[in-house]
Amino acid sequence: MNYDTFADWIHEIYSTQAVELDCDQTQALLPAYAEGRLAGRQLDSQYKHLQTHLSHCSHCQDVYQVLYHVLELEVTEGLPEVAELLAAFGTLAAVPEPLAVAL
Amino acid sequence: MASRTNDDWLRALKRPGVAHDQALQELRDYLLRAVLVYLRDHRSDLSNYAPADLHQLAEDLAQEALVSIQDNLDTFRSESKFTTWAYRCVINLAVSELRLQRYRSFSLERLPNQETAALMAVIENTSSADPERAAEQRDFLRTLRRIIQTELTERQRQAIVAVHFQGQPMSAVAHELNISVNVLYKLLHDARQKLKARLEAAHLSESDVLAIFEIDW
Repeated sequence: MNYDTFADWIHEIYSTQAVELDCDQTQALLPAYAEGRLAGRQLDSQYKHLQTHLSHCSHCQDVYQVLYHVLELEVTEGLPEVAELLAAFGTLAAVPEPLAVAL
Repeated sequence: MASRTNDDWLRALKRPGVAHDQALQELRDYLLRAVLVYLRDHRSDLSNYAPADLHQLAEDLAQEALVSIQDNLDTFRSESKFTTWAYRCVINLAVSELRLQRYRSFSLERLPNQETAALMAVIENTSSADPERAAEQRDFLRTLRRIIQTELTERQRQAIVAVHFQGQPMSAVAHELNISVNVLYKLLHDARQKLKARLEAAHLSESDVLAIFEIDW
């Protein structure tokens, strides 16, 4: 455990609330929360408990980050088509082996 | 692709027929694209996989999520767009499954008394130049270690060491403990509550600890 991780963990301990949302409750709220954030709505008071959960739970935080990214793409440029996404993997895989190792 | 309202989705997915099959196909396409975006933009560690394997992986995740969504249509409360709710389902599945695959060699059995080693590492990394402050830091870590060892259950200790000290993904730790991520969260929450109560009972407030370790938030 490094110093920063330790400091974060200490903060997590002291910010623990007697009652917190669990993962299932949080995930049920995530779609509306992500849409609201993307629309620029002020949600801090309405979703305070959800934000507390996200600060304690790396799993739900990951899901939220990816969901937000997908929604953002959908709104700004549209989700890419399957063929386009698969083509991106082809490009990644085509990187020559020695170069990939050097990276 | 025509855009459907939430009611359109629910009507089509709940009633067998041609409209149902079309809606399923359309939803499957949305799910597949969301998974592929996740793989492309968030999982660069998978870039050495063959494109065909990644495609298959994404297809499997989309299919599994599709089945789960159909089984749970009645839990959709229309508080968001239906597709956003569906994305959340498939993303949760993908994050869980892929973290699990990546850390499948991880085993809790290899973590006996790791809390001692982890806390000692903090001492080595911090140890203030001020001898008095360094002594306070050691005292606090000793207190914390004693609370962990005497007040927490074995499973709470294992969960803390794996998630907080080792940075293992929660899905991998939950799998090892044979519980859901949700139950793991509750286990960690109970542990945090105990630690907070015992530290406060020992007259150690957060501001005291921040001062001891010279942490500036």
